[in-house]
Amino acid sequence: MTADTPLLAVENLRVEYHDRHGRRRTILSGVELTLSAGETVGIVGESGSGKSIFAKAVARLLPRDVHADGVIRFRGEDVMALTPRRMESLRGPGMTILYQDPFTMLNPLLRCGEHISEGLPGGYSRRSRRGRLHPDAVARLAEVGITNPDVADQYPFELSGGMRQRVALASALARDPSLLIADEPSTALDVTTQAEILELLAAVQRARGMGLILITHDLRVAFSVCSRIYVLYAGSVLETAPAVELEAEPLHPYSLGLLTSDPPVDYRVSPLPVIEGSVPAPDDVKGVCPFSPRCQWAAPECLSEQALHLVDVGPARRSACVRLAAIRGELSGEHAVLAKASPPVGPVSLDRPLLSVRDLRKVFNPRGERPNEALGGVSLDIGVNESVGLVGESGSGKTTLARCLVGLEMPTSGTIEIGGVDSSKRALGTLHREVQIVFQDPYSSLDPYQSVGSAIKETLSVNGFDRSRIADRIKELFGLVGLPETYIGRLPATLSGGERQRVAIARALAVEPRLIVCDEPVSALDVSVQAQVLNLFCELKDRLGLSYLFITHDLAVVRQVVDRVYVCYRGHIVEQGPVAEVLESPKDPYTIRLINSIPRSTKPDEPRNKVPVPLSPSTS
Amino acid sequence: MRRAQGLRAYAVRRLLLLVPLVFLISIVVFLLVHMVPGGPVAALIGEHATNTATIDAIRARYHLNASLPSQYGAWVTQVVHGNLGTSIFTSQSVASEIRQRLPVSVVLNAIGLALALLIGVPLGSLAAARRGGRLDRMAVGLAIFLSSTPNFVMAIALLYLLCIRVTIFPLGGLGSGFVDEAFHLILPGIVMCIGPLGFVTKITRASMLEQREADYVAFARARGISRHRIYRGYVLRNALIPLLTASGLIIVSALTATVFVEDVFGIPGLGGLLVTSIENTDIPVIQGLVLLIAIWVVLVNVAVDLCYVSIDPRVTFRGMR
Amino acid sequence: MTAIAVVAPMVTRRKKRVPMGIMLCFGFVLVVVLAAFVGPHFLTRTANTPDPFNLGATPTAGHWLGTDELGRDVFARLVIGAYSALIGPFIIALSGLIVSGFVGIAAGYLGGLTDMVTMRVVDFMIALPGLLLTIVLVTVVQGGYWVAVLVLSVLNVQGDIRLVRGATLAQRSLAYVEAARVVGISRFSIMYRHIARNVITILLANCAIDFAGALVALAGLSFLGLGAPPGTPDWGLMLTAGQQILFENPFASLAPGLAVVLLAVSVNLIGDWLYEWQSRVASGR
Repeated sequence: MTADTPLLAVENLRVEYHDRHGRRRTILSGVELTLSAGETVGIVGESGSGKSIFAKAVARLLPRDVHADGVIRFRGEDVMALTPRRMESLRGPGMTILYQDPFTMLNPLLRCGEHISEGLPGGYSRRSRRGRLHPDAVARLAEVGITNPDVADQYPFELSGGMRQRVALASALARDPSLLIADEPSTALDVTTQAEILELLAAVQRARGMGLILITHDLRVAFSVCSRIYVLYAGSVLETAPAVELEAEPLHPYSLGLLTSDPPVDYRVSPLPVIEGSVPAPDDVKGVCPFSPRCQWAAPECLSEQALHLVDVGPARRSACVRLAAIRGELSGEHAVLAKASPPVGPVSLDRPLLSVRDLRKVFNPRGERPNEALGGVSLDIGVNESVGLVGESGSGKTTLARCLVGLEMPTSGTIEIGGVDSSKRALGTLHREVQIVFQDPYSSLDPYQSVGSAIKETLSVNGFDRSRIADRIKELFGLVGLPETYIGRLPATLSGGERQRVAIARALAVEPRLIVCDEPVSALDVSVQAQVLNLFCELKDRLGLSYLFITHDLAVVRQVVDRVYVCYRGHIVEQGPVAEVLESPKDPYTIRLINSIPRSTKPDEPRNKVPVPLSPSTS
Repeated sequence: MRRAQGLRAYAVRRLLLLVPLVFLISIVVFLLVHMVPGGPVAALIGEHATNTATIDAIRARYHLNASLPSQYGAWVTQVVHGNLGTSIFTSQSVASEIRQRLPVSVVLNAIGLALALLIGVPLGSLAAARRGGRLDRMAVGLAIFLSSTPNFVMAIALLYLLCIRVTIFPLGGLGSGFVDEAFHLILPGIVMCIGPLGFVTKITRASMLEQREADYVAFARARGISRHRIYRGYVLRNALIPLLTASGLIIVSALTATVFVEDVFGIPGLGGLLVTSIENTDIPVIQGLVLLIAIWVVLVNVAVDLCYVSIDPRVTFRGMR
Repeated sequence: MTAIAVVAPMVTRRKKRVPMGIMLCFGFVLVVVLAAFVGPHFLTRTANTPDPFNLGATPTAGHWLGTDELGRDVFARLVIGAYSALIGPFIIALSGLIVSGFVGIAAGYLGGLTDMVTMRVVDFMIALPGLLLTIVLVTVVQGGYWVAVLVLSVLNVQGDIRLVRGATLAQRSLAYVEAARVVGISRFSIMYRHIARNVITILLANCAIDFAGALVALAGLSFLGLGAPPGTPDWGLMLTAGQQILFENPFASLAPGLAVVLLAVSVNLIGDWLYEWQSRVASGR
């Protein structure tokens, strides 16, 4: 291997599997990627793009029945041609993968120090005794920001998600690999922890001169850490470019769509540009440009084999769009639109608020454990036809508050007034006509054995709706949320995540509430679908005069949907105000920290409120 | 260090908790005598007594005229001194009968469990390793067949095939002398292991398969940890937990199996004793056996719990912090 | 620019195919059921007529499986015996299904006192080996087949309740259950319409396993003389009685033994298949 040989060079990687009926299904079709030593490359894709499989394919850790072919050259050697034994010896010192979920990645029966020791030379003997850790284990933990040596003796279940991820990173680095593939390393974590982990990865990569492939669904994460980005869609690479250039000028309709439909945190865009439809399976778009069914510039030439190849469109830039030359101007035109902010929303008068919460406290007393004060005296107001945001991370109490508002939990003390009537002690019975809720997970919020139409029908009839008008009302609701009537008899499993969330919204609207509590309603959705649903929320608010309590951890989402925002931390409201004000000039240290944690663009000179945050592990 | 101390404290606490449980069991056992139709007199001497004098004598002897609690008190004192009463049928002391027959049953149970584990665990692991292959399918089929077949049916079938059709093994009983006895115990031992074998194979296979799919195994492989180490430190250790629960269940269910197997093969063990005492409605013997069985079951449960706690660090015991 | 229709994502429903082996199992069970209900019309007399000149005879054209220790036709007794082999286990499995369905879902969903009481009761039962307990209880009470069925039903129900409660707890943490509450659907409706629908397959699979277990247990009790009264054509009884003439006519024992095994295996396989099917469906969603 010479100085010029790329560390990793993937050519024409195809990955397929045989489904239950023996049919061949494609996951990746002809992916290419190059990475030099010391470089950080990002692979960005939504669900179904095949990005996680890519990592496994490179390390040849594919599950049974999944087959890869193509060329994968690591340090010049074709990995596909190696014997399993040789490949095993390559993993660890050569390349390694850091997986996504810190809660399942570590062996629950091994102590943290042992995870690292077993990778270090001489770290474990055949008969490992307790208490014999490799001397370097503690030093390795310090490298990932864990300065407390006792952690080495602790078991994974005793640590928080962020800590576990650090331990996992230290274990992955035990053999000093030249290439680290990080598969969504921060997705399962809180925003502030996420920022810490990403910074840690970047620091470690710099210090070791390691090659790093970062796989993520979040473009902005990729922008903040990577120098070059590959955009993956339905199993194919659609574009690759240096991060800075991709952000400044995306040269593929999909990249553009991804960029524009990702809500910015600095200003509101209303309505958000969307990409209609959802991500298809690779086999459904075989032989044509995978994005063509959803592309507004699609033309007959996009339907040919030609559309699948990446061509050079600039120095170190490649794009698979055959029509690029023709539509380049329009692309940058659309992008420019992004820069225009919508006018700020005026304040709503709060003399007669729709919802008024005063000093709400909720203490949980689980048997055998210490009492947990989830809410320590929270007060907030929501006006008529006002959209209010509640921002917080896990443990902030936001979900508890939501549950108290809809009657799923009884508060320990404090009052909740809706329309002037105290409802905190009221049983669930009458509350639900005023307040409804949309949950986070579209995949579990509908009964899998009940058709979506029937779910709405049940809601209506249980609330005394006139039997003869139910069918019409169902159609009306479906129309409101943008679902075709043909969906009425379908089971939830046949609908996509975004569609299921629309059904959940329709169900919430069925009883004609005045306030809808939205508990992270778009967190589980792909970015392109997220924009659709956010627009729907805005539209419904204007059309039906609804009020929202929009709960989320994502400040960018909050910027797009709400007028006023409350920031919640450990059961208390630490800051509140109009959304623009809070996000642009935050006063509380936690708010500042939250805002600083948002992955930003590649431009280093963006004005920020920077309060130095020490690189210490968060304890939660 | 902290954990070892906590473990000891937990063990002590658990054993102390046994006291009320055993107490409860003893009450139930005691009451068995009174549940028989015809009353305790019928229970104690069968239905032969019509003579008032005999009945009075019995009543006096067993303190049946006293109040229930004091009867219980007398019985407990008796038991604690090792006197479990007298068999109606053989007029021998229950305790001595039990003592005589205990070793055989213990050996039989041990053989059954040992064989089940020694064959089942490797078989299940291999099946999981070669998933979908011929060995796997055979192992699964075998496991289903074995765990569905009642042991008495298997016993009779084997008895017929290997003792009558082809006289490889003796027709039952225990023989004399160590080697002869061992030979006599082979076939019953095999039958004892059959049900548990199916169960162990199924559990081991399922557990191994689950381990192989586990994220921490994938991460270990990605880090280049050797296959050997992954197998021992990751797969095996984690698979041990369900296997432990399974072992507990097997030991307890083996008691029932003993009854049937000893009956078919004519082995003079505790199972056979239970069967004869059933046939003769020999309440004192039944009482003694049930007490023994109950205590054994409780001990096994505690042992399994303790093993659990020492293997799995996630299992916290109250008051440990 | 021509717009191209959006590709609507649709997950195609998997066709439910029943594998050949399971069909065979169902077939066998059907045969046994037929034997139990149709058999007695034709074979009762044959089954109960002893033939003192033909004790323990080997199979002939007149007696397909030979005769038993009292000269009665083994085949006829086998067919009639299907009834006692089926009815007890059926009752045990069914009662388990119904009781655990109601109590288990209630305990799992409502929690609190209902759950605590249920679990205390259930926990107490697990300490002791079921069959052994049954043996002892049935002996002491000097009961027979139906006493055994009663005792086994009670012992069986506790395992089922545990299972259903566990499945209910898993459902309860899913959002649709809470969404139903918020929308105003009654607790009763949630428990016995929504949750029940999601839990029924696992219940049925378990029911099959219970049936097979009860079958074996009852046969075992009869084998020990604690089940069906002597003289009844019962597979367990035939097994034990046939031991005496194992040398003369092994079929007197082996035939009922095989019948028990085949029935237990078939039902177990059906139960396993149901279990596999429901877990596939659950993860597919």
